[in-house]
Amino acid sequence: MMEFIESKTWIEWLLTIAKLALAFIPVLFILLLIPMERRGAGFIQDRQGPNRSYIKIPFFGKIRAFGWIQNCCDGLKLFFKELYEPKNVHKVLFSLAPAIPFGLTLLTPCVLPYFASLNFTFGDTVVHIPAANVDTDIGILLMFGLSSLSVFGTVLSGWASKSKFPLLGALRATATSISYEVCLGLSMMGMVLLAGTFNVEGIVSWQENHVWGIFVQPVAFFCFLLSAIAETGRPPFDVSEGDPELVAGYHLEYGAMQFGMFYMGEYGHVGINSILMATLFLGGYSIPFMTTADVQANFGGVLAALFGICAFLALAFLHMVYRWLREFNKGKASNKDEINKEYLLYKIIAWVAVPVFIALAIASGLFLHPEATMVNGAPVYGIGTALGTAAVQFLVLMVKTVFFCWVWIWVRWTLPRFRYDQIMHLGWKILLNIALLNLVVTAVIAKLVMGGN
Amino acid sequence: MVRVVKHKEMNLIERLYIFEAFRGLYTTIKHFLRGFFRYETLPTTGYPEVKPYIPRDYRAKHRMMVRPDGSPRCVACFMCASACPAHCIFIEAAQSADGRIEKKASRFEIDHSVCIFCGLCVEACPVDALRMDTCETSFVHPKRKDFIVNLTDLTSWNPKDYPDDPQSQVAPGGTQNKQALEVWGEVKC
Amino acid sequence: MLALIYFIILAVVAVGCSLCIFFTKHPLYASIAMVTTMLSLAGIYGLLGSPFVGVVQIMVYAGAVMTLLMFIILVLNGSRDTRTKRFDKVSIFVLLSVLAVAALTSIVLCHASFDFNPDTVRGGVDVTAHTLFDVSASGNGYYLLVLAVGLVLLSAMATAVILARKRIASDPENAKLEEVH
Repeated sequence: MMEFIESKTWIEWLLTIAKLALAFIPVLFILLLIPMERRGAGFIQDRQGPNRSYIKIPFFGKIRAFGWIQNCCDGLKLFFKELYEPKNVHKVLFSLAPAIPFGLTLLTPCVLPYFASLNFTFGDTVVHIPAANVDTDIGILLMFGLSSLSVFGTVLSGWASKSKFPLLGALRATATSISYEVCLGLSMMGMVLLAGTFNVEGIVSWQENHVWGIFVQPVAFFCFLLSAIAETGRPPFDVSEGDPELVAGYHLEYGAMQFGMFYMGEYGHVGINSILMATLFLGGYSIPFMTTADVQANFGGVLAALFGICAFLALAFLHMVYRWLREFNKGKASNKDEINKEYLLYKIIAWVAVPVFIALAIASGLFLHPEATMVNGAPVYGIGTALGTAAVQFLVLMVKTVFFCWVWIWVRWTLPRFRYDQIMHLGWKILLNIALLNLVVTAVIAKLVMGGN
Repeated sequence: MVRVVKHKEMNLIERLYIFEAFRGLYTTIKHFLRGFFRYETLPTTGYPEVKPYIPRDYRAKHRMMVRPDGSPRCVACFMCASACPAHCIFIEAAQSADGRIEKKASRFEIDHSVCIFCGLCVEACPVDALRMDTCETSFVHPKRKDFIVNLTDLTSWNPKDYPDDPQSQVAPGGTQNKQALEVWGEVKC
Repeated sequence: MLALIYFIILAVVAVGCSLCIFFTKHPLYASIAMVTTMLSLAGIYGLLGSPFVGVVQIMVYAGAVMTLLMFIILVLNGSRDTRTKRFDKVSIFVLLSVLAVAALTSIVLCHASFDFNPDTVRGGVDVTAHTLFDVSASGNGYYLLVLAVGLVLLSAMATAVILARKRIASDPENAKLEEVH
């Protein structure tokens, strides 16, 4: 046992264990997705969306945080409701079923890299820490294998409810999700073929060195997007739930946090698929036109640009706040004092943030020049630069992921719901064939152009 | 008469669905960007803070008109209670103190949890005592009992809220109350 | 040490769930137990150093085949089997054949000339394939094992045919006794 512990230095152990926290990132996307979905839907339909829930703090009064407090309200409501189960349900399976999709949401992203592998000098040693929690050469297969298990949650919940609506909803959801998983796997294979590895980090580094996946595999990207939306069972592919025929589908009998687990599983699934899409087709954590080595070499410049963008965003936020307040104060609302007090807080934060960001940008641009030591002909930097690069890459990945999350919501509130037979038609007769054809064409071209084995 | 609506034939691009889907996405993103970057131009209003405009002839909560001396105009003729299809008006008549008027209402109650706001009571009133022009549309009370309004509630309105209505200005506190009081004269037994 | 602890846990789960498949009377519980068996087998494959086989086990068996099986159970209104006795005359033969297969497998395991070294198989897909199917490198032990497993599969198929025939021949009057969930 001691040998096992002593096989790594303490910093390696620390970072390896700290990396486990990355498993919670798709679940944390719920914090973003709930307000994004509800307010985004509002804006699309020319409404304001939920913006009422607030927390009260001294002096500034009610802080509404642009509708973000809605998360707390939704969560608290689900937590404090009574766990209720109907009379004839199968008790064990009924309470087990919601845990399956939620648990898999925590388990599935173990192979996803949120940043390039950490490679840094620590004292005399050179430390290498892989980015993903589970660093294997079968990366993406493991992920698909695990995510295909979440179907069991659906099936069991439908069966354990002992009611015909959940059962039918579960059947439909299962059929949709297993038929689209085929398309999902096939459309992903093109990228795997080009990169020549199942390892997700290998795929990203291939894109870093060549070109983003969306430019070489546009058809696969499109198939992947459609099947990912269908696989999560969100509108317009939400056949499992329908007010006129099936009420709420397989989670009809669930309430309180049991329903919340399905909900979190679904949103976590959206988060995972968004990260996957950004990773496979949009270059993952890579900054456009820069490899990880470039970023580390020009770390000061990259940080300066990042802080510059942050300062610009803060200024844009201030502009929007001031313009809105001017219009608001012209109106006849009775809560002008309250709102002005609340926005005073935002204004103070933004006004403090702008000079801080600008100062940070100038400082990092002028004074940050990391020193490299050459190891095996490649430059290796200190731990600070390595972790900083990881943070920047993480931010870049999150920006791309948030874009895809928005695509999910955007599609949901635009397209009308498909009929069940249309979904099966689209899945088996159109998407599958396109994905297969794309795979064959990719293989031929890859063989001819790249001369692979 | 049968009206035949002929749908336009879809052309190939429309039948492919995918391009039309993108057009739909373009439409929704326009609306989203309007809401996100021009939040103040959204047509909705924050309701409890910003009250919507309600026209004067909207059939809202009732009020009872009063004479220049402040007594309610109701002569307890039971016309409104007879006209009411929901039977929500309860009147108890009493002898009027004024010799020129035969009866007055000692109790006049409207149950707003039963009222259907049809306006027939207003039409039926022979002395223009009952009106529905208060523009109050939201009824929120903690108890069912609170929905029943009595004579005091019905007559406790402010003439300043009805500046364009000469009949309301006749009431105590109104601009024409003094002249009207002179015309009305003292109470004769 | 750590690997041994993991192996013991996974092996106990696998064997326990396989026994559950035999002794539960409801097809849905049996299929859930089977999924768990598959998953723990996949874990054992991962411990043996060929995670690819393990993931394929999860994807193909647990993800696809068992999902379809459960799907069918749900659609066919699968119910508790109250007619088939747990032990009857056939059980003796089953027991005998199980013992025979076990004896055969143990003989194969004892006599086969292959030395199992986890370090040689640990690695990528090609290493696993090389170790398993290159006779000159690892002897003919794995082939014999595959043949033994083939016998098990054959007997399973025969049992399935017998069970199906019995179900068809059985009297439909007893259908009312079925406990409909």
